Amino acid sequence: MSRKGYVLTLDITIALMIVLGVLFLSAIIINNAQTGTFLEMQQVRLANDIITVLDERGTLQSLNSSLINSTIQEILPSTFDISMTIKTYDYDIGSQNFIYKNRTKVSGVTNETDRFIGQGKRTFVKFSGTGVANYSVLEYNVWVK
Amino acid sequence: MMVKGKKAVLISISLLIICLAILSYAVIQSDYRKNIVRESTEMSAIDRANSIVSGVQTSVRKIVSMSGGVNISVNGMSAVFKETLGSGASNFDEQLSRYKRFLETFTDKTNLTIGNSGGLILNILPANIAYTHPSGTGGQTIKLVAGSSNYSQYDIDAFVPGGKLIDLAKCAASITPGTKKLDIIIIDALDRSCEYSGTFDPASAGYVTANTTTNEKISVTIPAGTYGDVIIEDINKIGVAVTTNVTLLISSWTRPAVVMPGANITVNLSAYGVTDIESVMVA
Repeated sequence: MSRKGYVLTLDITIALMIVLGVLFLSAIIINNAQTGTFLEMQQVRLANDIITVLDERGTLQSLNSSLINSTIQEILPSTFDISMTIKTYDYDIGSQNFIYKNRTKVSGVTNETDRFIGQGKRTFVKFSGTGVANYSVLEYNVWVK
Repeated sequence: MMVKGKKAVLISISLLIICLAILSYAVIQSDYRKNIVRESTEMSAIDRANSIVSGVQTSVRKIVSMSGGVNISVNGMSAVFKETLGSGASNFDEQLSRYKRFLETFTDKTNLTIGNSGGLILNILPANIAYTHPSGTGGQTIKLVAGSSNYSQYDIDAFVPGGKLIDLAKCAASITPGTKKLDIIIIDALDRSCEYSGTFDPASAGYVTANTTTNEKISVTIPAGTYGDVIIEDINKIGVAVTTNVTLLISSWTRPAVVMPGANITVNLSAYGVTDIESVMVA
């Protein structure tokens, strides 16, 4: 009789281990698949919209990092943060080449997190009179604070 | 004893089925989320391409506005063009060509195709009305040509601030009726001459009206099927600021857009299997 009880306990223990194992495995499978959501896409779209506003307003063309930063803080939802690097080039008529002029860095108010960082690129031009004064390439990072 | 054994087997089978169901659910969820990840990666790639395209659209629009000398916007069902005729030869082609080189040098996998050279040609969609400059941007002439008839009619309002328009009613009276071409010459008030070529009679058809009180505005109505070309010209070459509104009367609710025909932006993000080809829209 006591041997029967022992076997029964062992049986239940093994059964429980199998059930818990399956549950644990299922949890791992679901968790592993949880990277990459539509929120991440929204980050890139949001950054794209912000950069477009800055370009349309002419703020980017100022190449003034503090002005750009303050404008971003005005229009960016408080849960997000953006940093950007702008490389500016002049056109040399003689050599017909683009000559590197300077780099403008705009940092976010928080450090970039170890979470998803959306990235993008955009070009813009600055005019002087009826001609383009310089050409810029902007690269941005956007993340959730 | 037998009954107890059967019960145990039943419980074991039930537990097994529950476990399999949970595992299956996890696998299905995993596949579903993997699909979401794949789709969101592709959509992110499209967004990245869109970010590049959006920058190119803005830059080209500024080049058209600053170097081409035409400020273009869309207001309701109207495409609005503001420019000064006779302001001198523009460096539009050179500026656009430089921007193309810059874009293709500094943005990987991006290509700007320019459909035409030698002047700014624009197309008003969806009616396919060409807005062109036969003597080049900064020249004396604007020409509007209807390319298709997927509209009921379109109206052209030309404004010249300061009352520099001629009295169009007098001009219209000198036209022989019957042709399909209408030329309107806008000149400075110093020389109040006017000229229509062709035999389309805007006066008899009632298609042309002018604000004779201030002499600031001409309105032209072109019904579908009449193929009326409209030429607006600063004949004295003294420089006339003109605002041209092209208002479409179309059956659909499609908003007008102004594009550069034959010009495309191609962004090829091959790593993501995404190629985005967009026409160059300037308004």
